[in-house]
Amino acid sequence: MDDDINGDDIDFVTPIRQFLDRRLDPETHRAVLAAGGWAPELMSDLLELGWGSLSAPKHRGGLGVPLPELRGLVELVGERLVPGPLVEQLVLPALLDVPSGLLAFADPGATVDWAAEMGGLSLSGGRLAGRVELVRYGAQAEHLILAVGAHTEDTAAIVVLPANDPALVIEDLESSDPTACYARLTVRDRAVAESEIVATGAAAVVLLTWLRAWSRIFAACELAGVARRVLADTVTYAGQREQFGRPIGSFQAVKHLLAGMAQKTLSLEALCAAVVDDAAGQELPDLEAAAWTVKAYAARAARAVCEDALQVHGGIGFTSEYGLHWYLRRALALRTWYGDENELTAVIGARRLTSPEHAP
Amino acid sequence: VIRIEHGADATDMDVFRGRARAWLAAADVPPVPSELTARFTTLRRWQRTLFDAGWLGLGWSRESGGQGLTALHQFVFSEELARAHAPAPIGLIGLDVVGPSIHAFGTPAQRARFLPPLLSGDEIWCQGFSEPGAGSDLASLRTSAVRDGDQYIVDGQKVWTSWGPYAAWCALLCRTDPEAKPKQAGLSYLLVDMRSPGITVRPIVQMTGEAEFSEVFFDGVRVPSENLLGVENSGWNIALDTLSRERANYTIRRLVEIGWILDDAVAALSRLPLRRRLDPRVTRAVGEAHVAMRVLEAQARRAVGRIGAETGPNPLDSIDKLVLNDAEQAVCGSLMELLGPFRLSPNARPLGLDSRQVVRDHYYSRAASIYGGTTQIQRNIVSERLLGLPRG
Repeated sequence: MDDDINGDDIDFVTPIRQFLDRRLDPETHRAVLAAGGWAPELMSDLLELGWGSLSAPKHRGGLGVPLPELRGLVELVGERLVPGPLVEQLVLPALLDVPSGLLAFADPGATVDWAAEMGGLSLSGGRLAGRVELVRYGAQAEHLILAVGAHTEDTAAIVVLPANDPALVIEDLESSDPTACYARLTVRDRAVAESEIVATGAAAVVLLTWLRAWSRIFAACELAGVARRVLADTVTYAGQREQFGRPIGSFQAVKHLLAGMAQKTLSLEALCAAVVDDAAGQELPDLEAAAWTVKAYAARAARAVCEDALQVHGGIGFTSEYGLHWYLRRALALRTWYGDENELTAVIGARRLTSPEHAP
Repeated sequence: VIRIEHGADATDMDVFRGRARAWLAAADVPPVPSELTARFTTLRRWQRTLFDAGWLGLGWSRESGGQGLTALHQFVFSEELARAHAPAPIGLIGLDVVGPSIHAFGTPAQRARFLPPLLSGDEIWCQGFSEPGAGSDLASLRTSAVRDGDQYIVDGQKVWTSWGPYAAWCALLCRTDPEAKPKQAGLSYLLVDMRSPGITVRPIVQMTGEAEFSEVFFDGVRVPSENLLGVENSGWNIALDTLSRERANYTIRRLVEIGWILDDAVAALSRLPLRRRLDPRVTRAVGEAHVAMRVLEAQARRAVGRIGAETGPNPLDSIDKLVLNDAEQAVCGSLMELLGPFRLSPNARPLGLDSRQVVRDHYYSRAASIYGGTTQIQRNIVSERLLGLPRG
């Protein structure tokens, strides 16, 4: 019997929102952000609520919720600035048969323009070696999913290894991203068993393309959540803060900044919704191109919204006490993760000019 | 294609779309001449063809010469028409702006008199709203209409009137109460016969070389009072209503047209040697334009949802307009950037692009943030009516 969950009928967002209301009061939130974006208890509570099995298919013990149905949840993560490898726990189990427990994705493909600096992993003659300079939650995860090789059929593979494997050197890095931790991964020459290889060759290329597409789409959705929150807070502030005897939101110069922020936020939300709605049943090259597009726009729009918010707030926005900087810092970090608008518009243009059948 | 999501209607709309597409595929779509009078004649004949085939006034009642369907049907047809690379009918001002107002606010006699010839193109309409002294501040307009028995006597000047020399009728927004406070409460909407004595039309040539706009002078023009639309001094609300109605059809048309502009450019650039094609300046420009198009398309889906729900004028319309303007300017601006110094040579083909056309499209895109309510006016609306910020 096919009883797949239809997200249109089930509200995933409200229960998690209520959980966050209880669990992440402003003081706790601030402490978590100040501690560098890692809240193990919060993460284990979320996993207990089923976060890690939402998207996994039923035959692997998950709920089988299609990724497009989870857009609202990811936007909520942005809006509430929830720390943790939350997107990883949605994307990786949806597409890969991977162990339960906290997962990190060691993917040099998180950047194109800095590929040379990011490093890479290679698998040759059954032996794995290399490094990845930035692995989100590499030092906190129980298992690492490793994207191996260039994006070609003869070199690509996906390998899963336990984080405590002696051949892995994982160095925690200082991070300016308030809701994510990063680590440098070095893999010494290590023999890889068949059972540790999730996919190779063409299958690995396809899976990596899916993973990167959804990583981009969800990064965009998270940025849309950040923008929405920052817009709302800035409108409230502009209505309260007075200068020259009246609220600054009554000055046209300020109003127009806010109207521009609203335009960017609403159009970003509309684009995220359109891309996610179209994703079901879309061919992979089309999904890939749509993911580039939405991430490119999100990178630009969310940055602009946060920077304009800082302008409207004036000096208070720069204080560590007032919370705006967390959103700005998160937006600027996430903006580059899986590509900013500069990187991705070039990729999109190259696709359009070389492969008309999959014009993005 | 913009998906129409209205449950049971969706299938119905797909069938309708299929019929429109089949008809357009078989239709004899005319090439559009550049000379003004020839263009007018061709597009007017094209309107007649569309009318005879039952594709105009889709959302209007049958008594008014329409087809008794919905605004969504007209929207779908507008989209298919543009996708078929077919020109818009000549009487867009009548079809999208004036006609819906007459349909919504007119008496049965006015609807029966004015709408059938408006649809068929027998009578072309122009819009007399803007004045030299009343642009963004439209409600300050001063063209006056003074009651004299069963007539109004109209004096004043209008500007940016499309197809002025060719129009049979003018939808005139004019002042009937100079003392009214607020000034919006003193405006009326008159339907004026352009053959009336006292009307002078003078064309305005634009920087694109086009001359479809005019100035129109009214000097003691007599208009029968039965040509008042709605009640006296209610013209402002009628004007606002129609400005919002025109937007969805216009947006979808521009969405498709701008898409063609980009597609044509991509086709030309794709003939370049691979190395030149993959020059970062070229890929970035195409990528920028592509992203802008997708943003616009996603926004259009939201706008269509609102036509379906018939919410009436809404501050979100202003977001749609801002997104449309930005997309149009991003696409045309990005392509213009690929001309380099060859922009100054209209017959040149830098990177395979048609310099003359790209420059013209770019000029035209700059008007997008001015006409139909400037970007600054839209931002005022968004900040006050959508975000609820206090008035200054």
